[in-house]
Amino acid sequence: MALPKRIIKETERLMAEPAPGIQAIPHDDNLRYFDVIISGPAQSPFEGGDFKLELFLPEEYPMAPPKVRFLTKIYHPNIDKLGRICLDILKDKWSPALQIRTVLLSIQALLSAPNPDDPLANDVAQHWKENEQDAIKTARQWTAQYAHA
Amino acid sequence: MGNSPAKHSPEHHGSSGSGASSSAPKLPQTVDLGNLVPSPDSVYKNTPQDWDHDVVGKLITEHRMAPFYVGLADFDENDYEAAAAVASSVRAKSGLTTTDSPSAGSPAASLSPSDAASEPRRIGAERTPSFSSQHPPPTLRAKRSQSMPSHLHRNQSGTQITPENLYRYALECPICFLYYPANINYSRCCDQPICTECFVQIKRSDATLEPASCPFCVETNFGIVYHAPGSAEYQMKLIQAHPEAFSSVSENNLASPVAAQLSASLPNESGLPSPSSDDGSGSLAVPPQPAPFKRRQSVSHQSALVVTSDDLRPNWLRKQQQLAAIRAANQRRNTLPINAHAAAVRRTRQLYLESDSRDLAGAASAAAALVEGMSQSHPGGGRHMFGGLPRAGRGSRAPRQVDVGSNYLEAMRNMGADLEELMMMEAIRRSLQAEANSEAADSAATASSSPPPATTPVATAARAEEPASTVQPPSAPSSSESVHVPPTS
Amino acid sequence: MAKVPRNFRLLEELEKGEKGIGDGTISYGLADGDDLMMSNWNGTIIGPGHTVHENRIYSLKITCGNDYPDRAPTVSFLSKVNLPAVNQKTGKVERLACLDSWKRSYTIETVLAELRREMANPSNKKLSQPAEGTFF
Repeated sequence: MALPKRIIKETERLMAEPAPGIQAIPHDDNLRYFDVIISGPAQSPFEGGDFKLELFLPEEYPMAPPKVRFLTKIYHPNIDKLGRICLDILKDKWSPALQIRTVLLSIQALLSAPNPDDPLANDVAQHWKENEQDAIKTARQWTAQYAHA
Repeated sequence: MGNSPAKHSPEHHGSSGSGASSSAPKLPQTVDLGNLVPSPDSVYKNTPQDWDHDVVGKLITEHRMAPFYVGLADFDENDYEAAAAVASSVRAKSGLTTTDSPSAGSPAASLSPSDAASEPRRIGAERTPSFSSQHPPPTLRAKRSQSMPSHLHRNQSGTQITPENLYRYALECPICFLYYPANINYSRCCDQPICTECFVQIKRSDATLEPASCPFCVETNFGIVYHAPGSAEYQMKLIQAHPEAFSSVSENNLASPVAAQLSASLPNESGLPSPSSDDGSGSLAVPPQPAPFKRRQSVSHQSALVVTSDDLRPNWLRKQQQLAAIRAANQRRNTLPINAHAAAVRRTRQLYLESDSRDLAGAASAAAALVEGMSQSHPGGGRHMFGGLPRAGRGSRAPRQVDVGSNYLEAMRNMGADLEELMMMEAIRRSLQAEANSEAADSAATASSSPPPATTPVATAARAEEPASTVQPPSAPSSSESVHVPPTS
Repeated sequence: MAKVPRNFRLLEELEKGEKGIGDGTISYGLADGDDLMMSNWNGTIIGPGHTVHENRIYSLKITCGNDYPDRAPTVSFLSKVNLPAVNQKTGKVERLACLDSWKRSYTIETVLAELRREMANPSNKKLSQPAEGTFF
């Protein structure tokens, strides 16, 4: 059950120099499983919210991407009701040169740049496209309701 | 061995009458003190090693890719004692002993003169002395003189290849974060280091079968170039990475014109960042390059110098054809499980409609939710009752069918079945099934499992100037927080 | 090997269930698509052929607690069924080998598949059954 050196080093570096607005702490009993908090980026509808996520490094990591999910409800066209995130680098655009840190920064960036124009079957995305101001308002309300500690 | 792509041959075959290329394909045990296979406690020991071991062994023997070395968890380039200790453990692990004298049967035989003849890229190496052996740090030199007076590996140019001088300038592989000798592979496109264990893991995606992309710059047709210890390119890289260590060499007795020219242009100030001193925190595996040197230009994936991911899996084309056949079979029908489930749901619905019992409501709504859970991209995307069967999602249908295909392929392979025959039978069976089930098609045409994919928002975000301070293009060398930017699809 | 945590394990099971299991004779999905904890699931078993269960469709409720998959889920039939494994008052599955000696590698699918095998078990396949479409 030895943990690959890469995971140990990534964890040490994450703890030593956390990325701004991002916190990731491994579980004591499973060092591949992280509790994550991402602060909503300024000037986004998620500003002021602290969003909880969970991240897991599968056996194949880094040849396979980490699994990441929001645990805080969030109104965003690329995040579904179970907190699953649709982000290319978590799927077919994964590269083993990416890291936990870069993944979390990309998710933080996704909060700043919702992308409702990709193929969607999603009421939030529809809302975003039809009435962006109203969708942003809802996103702010959800942030206030669910993402405040 | 005969599988080796044609481009492997011109350089090597025929010019070397002995060693690896001789008619009896007896490969040496080690090459440049590294191995032809990963060590049993490799980082990837739990991952399928589905690359062609013969091809890889041959490429390593021909010095076209780095051998498998023991990766070091920690390495401090200023800690010579530690480096020497590591070196001696490497020596032990590779079966070398200090009392072992070089003989025809020893690993040193892998570096036979015929290798030199077959290795045109080493021109210039002959007159170049080994920097590290001429100017070892004091501790290391002392250690060496005690522990290995008689055992010296020599390459064709007389350069000593010892664990000490291989690991002296170890650098961190940006994928596995282990330290490897400086004669590591470099990506053909963006000249980033990658160890052999990581390189052999990179392959075409099972889902798309597109050629593998470079993990660092996402250039397609990923491949590496390798420069063996002692070669001019290897030494150039060392000088680039450690200008301070080699400045005296250039003043005193640097014989190689190439290296002399390079080191003449070296800046005097030391302390330039080196790949191994960059602790990599947050950087996307883009070690800073010393400024005075131009990064090597990209080398075409068709170059004879390059080993591509495809080269390590010569049978990918066959696999691609098999998957394409399965995909075609899949597309002629909706997947059977969904049809069967749709039939089950119709029956449940019928039961519900036929009954007035309030007791049924719970079960019915449970079943309804189940249908949604089963077939909707987006669980809970609308908890309608029976009327609301979900629409087909556009997004993830194709990849899912490939998944089904590859699982199927895997299962068949496990059964040791004749694949082609089974695929044909299955295609026919599915085609018949599709007709039989066509009536259920409308209710079954559903399912997609994910919210809409977003391309990486990094570029947009940077434009929006919000987290822009933390987000930079991938090759910005000075960034401590660079984020990978894949091409938008 | 890496130990997959509960939530990611359940997401894997969800995705597998969405794709469809085998020949479709068992299926399952989330009861509440909004439930971030993914605790409550619905299952369906289509009665095996050549048994008294043939052509019947059984609905079940599966609850995965916080310590799933280290601990077994609780499983109850919603549809009435006469099986030794099932409490005839509540529908709860009380005696099933895979639940009694639960392993972390077992899944909701494991449970449903074993229940379906129970239905086809020679000693059970002729048991008289409650009227079709009745519920506990």
